[in-house]
Amino acid sequence: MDAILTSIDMLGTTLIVPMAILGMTWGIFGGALPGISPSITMALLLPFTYTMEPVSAIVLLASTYVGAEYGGSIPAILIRTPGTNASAATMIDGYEMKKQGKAGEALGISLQASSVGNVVGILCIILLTGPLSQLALAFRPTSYFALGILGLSVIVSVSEGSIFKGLIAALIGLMIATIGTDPVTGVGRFTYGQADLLTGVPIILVMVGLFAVGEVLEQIATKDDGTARTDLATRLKWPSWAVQKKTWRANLIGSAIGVFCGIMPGAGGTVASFMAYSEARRFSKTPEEFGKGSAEAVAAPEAANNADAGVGLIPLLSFGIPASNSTAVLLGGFLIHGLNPGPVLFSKDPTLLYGLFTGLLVASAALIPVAYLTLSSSIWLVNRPKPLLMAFIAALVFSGAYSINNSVFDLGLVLAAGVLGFGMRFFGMPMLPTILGLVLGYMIEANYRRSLVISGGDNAIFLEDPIAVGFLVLAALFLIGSLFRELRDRRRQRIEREVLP
Amino acid sequence: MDRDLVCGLIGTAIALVYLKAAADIPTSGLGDTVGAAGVPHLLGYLLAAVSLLFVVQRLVVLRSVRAAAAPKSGGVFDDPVPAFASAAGTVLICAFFIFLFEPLGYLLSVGILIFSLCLYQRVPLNPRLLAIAAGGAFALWFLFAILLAVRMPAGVWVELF
Repeated sequence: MDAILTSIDMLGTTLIVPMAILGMTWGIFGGALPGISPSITMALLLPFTYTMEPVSAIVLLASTYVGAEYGGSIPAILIRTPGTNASAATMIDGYEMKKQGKAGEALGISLQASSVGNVVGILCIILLTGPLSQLALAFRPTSYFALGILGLSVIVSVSEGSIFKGLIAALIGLMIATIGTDPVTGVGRFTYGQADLLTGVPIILVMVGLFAVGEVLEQIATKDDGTARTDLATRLKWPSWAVQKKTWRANLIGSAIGVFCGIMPGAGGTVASFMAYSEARRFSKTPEEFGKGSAEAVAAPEAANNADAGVGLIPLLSFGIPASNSTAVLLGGFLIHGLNPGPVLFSKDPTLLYGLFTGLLVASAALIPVAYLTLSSSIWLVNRPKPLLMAFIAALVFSGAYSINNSVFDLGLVLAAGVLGFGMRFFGMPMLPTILGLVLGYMIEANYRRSLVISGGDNAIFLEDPIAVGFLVLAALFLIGSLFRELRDRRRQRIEREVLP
Repeated sequence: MDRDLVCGLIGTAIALVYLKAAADIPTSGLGDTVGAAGVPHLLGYLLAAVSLLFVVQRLVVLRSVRAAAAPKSGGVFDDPVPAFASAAGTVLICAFFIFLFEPLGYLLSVGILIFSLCLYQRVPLNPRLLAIAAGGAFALWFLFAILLAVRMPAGVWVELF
């Protein structure tokens, strides 16, 4: 009851409502731009949040995340180019509907399904975050060290591609985190007399560089295939009762799968949306329409990726461990204001989290009117030439990075992180382990050494904490399991090559 | 050359350079049992080990099958040389922008950045491009310097006039 009253009070006394609407609008625009993922859309906003109240900044970023998940479906339906990876499944039948002259209806179905998925995801966050964070209150330095190792192991083991690449990416992130003043002795490490590095490499600048500048470098290096552009006349059409009766089951299936995938670290919206597509077809009365412009096939993936986005916030808010690129950027938003999401934040400053929940509910309610109002502008943006977009994004990124500390050194850091991001994309390395290594590096090292100071240098202290033992065993199981899976896949590929030369 | 193999070799090189740099970390009288250089050393050795294992694993895969039939390395570009050249050009433009940022001032340097990145992506050189670059720089200046009140560099022009 107290929480509800606080939330209602915050609606009038803070900037939650305008920030939720602004974030939603920015998110829809960012998601609508092909190649610009939700995490990049959020990273572009980070520098602007420095001067804001913490609750406004967090609501702005979280609403952007929600908006971008819907925005990704616009180019997927209109120009057969998914705005986000998670909207690739929507593209299959959404574009078929467009070819049949039903683009407006497809956009309406996508909007309704996104709203359903959003509400389900937000309800899960509200119900689960509190109880889970209470669990974490029992943690000691040994547990936090083990939690950091577990978080890294899970992300490394579920990352796309070889586990070796995931491990290399995580270690690079941990190495960057060692730059700066040593957390125990105060000795400078890898600073080379550079005062800007004494407090470490700013995580925000690395995120902006890795995601945004890396993306600009990749997009400029990728030739535009001159994909046919859409007309500018499409208008959003809310689904009729007949269509809604047909899609309710797909909405529910998509939401349930989104919640399931959101809880599983690393599964992500893309997996959720394709799983939802497949399950919706299985339970559909007209499975033969899938692939030919089915309304259910548009609804299920959209509900799934939006529910997944909401539920994906739970590990961050409960344990301080981001489970996706977007939640890693949101973590950056918390860190900018000196806040560490997790159980301590929940017990010390619950109003911030009530504000976030309220903001997400406002954003969810605002999705439908904002989507209607911004559709024409979104379609206009979808049709902008890529060279102009990339040039403006680069200018915006560097301007934002400079505005944080008024430092040219920071611009160099952002560019260096961008080069690293391009290199990682080039080699097909996952970026989330690097970000997570950077974010968790300090926590892992500080708690490891704090534990050893407590025990007088005896490593057995980690075995005396049952939570730490459990986490470390789980971490080892994840890594070993992933290694076995990779070896098994390679063996199967070899056998297939030998059988089918 | 196989892309994963190069990735493993680069990882090994990074580990060696990092270990060399970690050796220069000073010791402190306040040091705990691990010390300021303890974790960096551990990370360096781990990266070297993982990268070398990756190289060995990739060599085994490449040896077991004909190179042409080997499973393809991950990555987004089919043709790496033009992609690298293009990215290097973009990085150079951005580095040039950073170099000129304070001497030229915000408005002019951002205008040049937008203009040169567009030109680099083969947008035709015409008055429209100049207008886009000028308009874009002005819009960003208005957003940051006026609306957000960020102190952006004015450039050497302030001293001249």
